[in-house]
Amino acid sequence: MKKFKTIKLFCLLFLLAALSGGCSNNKSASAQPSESSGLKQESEKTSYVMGLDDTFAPMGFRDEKGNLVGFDIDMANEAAERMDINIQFQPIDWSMKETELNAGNIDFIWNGYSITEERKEKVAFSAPYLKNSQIIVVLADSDIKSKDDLAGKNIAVQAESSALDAVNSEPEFVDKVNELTEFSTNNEAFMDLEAGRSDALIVDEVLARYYMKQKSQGNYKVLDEDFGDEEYAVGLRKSDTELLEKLDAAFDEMKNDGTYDRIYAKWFSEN
Amino acid sequence: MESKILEMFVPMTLEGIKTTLGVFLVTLMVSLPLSIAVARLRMSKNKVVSLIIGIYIYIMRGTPLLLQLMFIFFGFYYVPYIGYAFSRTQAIFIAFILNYTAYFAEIFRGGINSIDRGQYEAAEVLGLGRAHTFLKIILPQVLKNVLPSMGNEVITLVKDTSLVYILGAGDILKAAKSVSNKYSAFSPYIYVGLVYLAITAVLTKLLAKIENKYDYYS
Amino acid sequence: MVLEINNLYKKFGGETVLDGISFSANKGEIVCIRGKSGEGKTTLLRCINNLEVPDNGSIKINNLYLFRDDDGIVKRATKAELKIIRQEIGLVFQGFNLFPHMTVMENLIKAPKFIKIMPEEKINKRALELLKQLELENKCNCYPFQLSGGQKQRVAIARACMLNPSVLCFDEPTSALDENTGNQIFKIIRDLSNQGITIIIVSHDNGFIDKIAQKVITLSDGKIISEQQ
Repeated sequence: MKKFKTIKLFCLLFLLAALSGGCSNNKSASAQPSESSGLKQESEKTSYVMGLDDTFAPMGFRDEKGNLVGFDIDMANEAAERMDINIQFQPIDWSMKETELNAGNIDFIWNGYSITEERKEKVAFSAPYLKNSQIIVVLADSDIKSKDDLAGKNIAVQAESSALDAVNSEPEFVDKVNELTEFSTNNEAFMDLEAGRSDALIVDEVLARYYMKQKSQGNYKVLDEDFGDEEYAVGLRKSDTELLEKLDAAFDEMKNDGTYDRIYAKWFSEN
Repeated sequence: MESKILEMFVPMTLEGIKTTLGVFLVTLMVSLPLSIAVARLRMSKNKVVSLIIGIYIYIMRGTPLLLQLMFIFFGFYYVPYIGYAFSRTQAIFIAFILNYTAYFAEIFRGGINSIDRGQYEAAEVLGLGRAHTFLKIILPQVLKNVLPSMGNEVITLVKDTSLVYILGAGDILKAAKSVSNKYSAFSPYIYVGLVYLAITAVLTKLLAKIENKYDYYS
Repeated sequence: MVLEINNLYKKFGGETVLDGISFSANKGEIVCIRGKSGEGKTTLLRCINNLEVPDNGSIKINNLYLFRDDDGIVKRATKAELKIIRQEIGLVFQGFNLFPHMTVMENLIKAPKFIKIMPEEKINKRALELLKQLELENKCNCYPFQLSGGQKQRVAIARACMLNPSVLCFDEPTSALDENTGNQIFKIIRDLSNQGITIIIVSHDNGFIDKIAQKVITLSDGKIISEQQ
């Protein structure tokens, strides 16, 4: 009887410790996830949280050692220095990004986040910092050469992506294709293309170039036609107007003093 | 290329396994004793208590754990009067514990119900007292009966830990995804599949051992 | 007068199962209660063992009231009194109800250890003595599932006797046994009676009753219709 009570007590204590602790996952040298209850904090913050899908190469992802790296990471660290704030990186599930932002768990959505009209209604965008387009990728030996050739074919896209939005903005196209499959990551979409289940992939150019470099450029072909150009920007809560101004100012500085070009060259040099 | 993948995979998986096993162990350690209490409450003669617990169990078993995770972390803050913003870790533990306690409680309830009334009566006639009777006479017999079903749930729990991704937490499946995306390769998913199989194999063996230990009487 | 039953009433649903039962038993007496199935024999036994609460009447064991009639309301014994009464009266169930996850020895010493009526070594000694008396010494580390029906019954008897009861009840002791073991049980009950334990047996085995009973009470429609010596 006594033994049982002590076991129960031990469990309760452990639970309390675990709940009050809030142990952090995903430790890495350059990224420390944080728990924030943003909405309830004072506006006098010096520490901000950037939410990202930490598997999204080359914008924000893990290197061989598990450290958080990427174009967006470098941009964020630079901007934070200029804005004189602390920035922490919080891995989130990409499909929950706006929820996380509006709940106050993160302050920036910064992960190859494209500006779209629908998103403009939910968040405030910084000045764009990278141009991108939604390209069509097919296997090198495919006989698809133009958008029209995609009629009756199977298309793969990443779910919740601006690629999907771009495709959906051309409903006549959507009607003509056979199947439009959504994948949770672009990596999976690429796998589907390689497996031959999908005939073409609609994807951010920035991303596609990274993947194709990894595999072997020769396996793929990029069509001339695309689904439009777009720009990456940072998403903030609409109420954070001051923060937005500071961020845009930082971006201006970085563009003018060559920092932007340096970071761009590091990640997107055409080899 | 494969060696580079493994070089990244191993340390990241070791990091992720802390989360996978952490969620697994805490959930088990708290849910198991808690579910016995909940099962008893569900069997209470007080109709109100029984109904409230019944509703709790119904909600937990009737909605996906994934949804519960999302609700507790994102949605609970907006609940009037009692709304509170849990941290990610708190939300994960709360959702898993609430969910698995409900499942375990139903298994225990079935097990307790299957114990012959005569056992209670023999204990009563011998003057053993209600608490002692439950802990030393009834519960050991119940445990033997429910082991197979519990074993199933325990193994399901290992796999359910991968749901923490929705709150951005990094378990072994997420680690595999990171490696996969870095190298645009599929093999990390195969490796993590093997890791899950290894964990399950160890668990299955352990459960079999426990079942054997309880098999000393039929 | 070790056991005194007075005017016991019990209703289940709309049916009156016990309708004013009164009888008594002396020290060492073997009383058999018989009647057709569903005539209230088992209910009577269960009331005596505090497994049912009668609607009216009183049950007195030695000098303590298990149930007392207080102006038409049945009052139960207090917790302290119950603790004593439970040791004074024992029951050997028809299905024995041994604890399957415990050895014979553990079954025996469970209750005495819990109630702490004796120091531990004495409890163990008494258990071994009883097992010897019942010819079960070499089974003390066996589990119930390894025993035969007759052996299980003897373990059940030993378990009940560990608490030194003044009254020992048997619910259909011969129903599960063959003739041989029936003889064995006859001898055991005789021995217990000679040791001064009052025996109450509920049975529909008339042959057995005729052999062993010193007093026979016949129930019909919840009433005692005869009492013979």
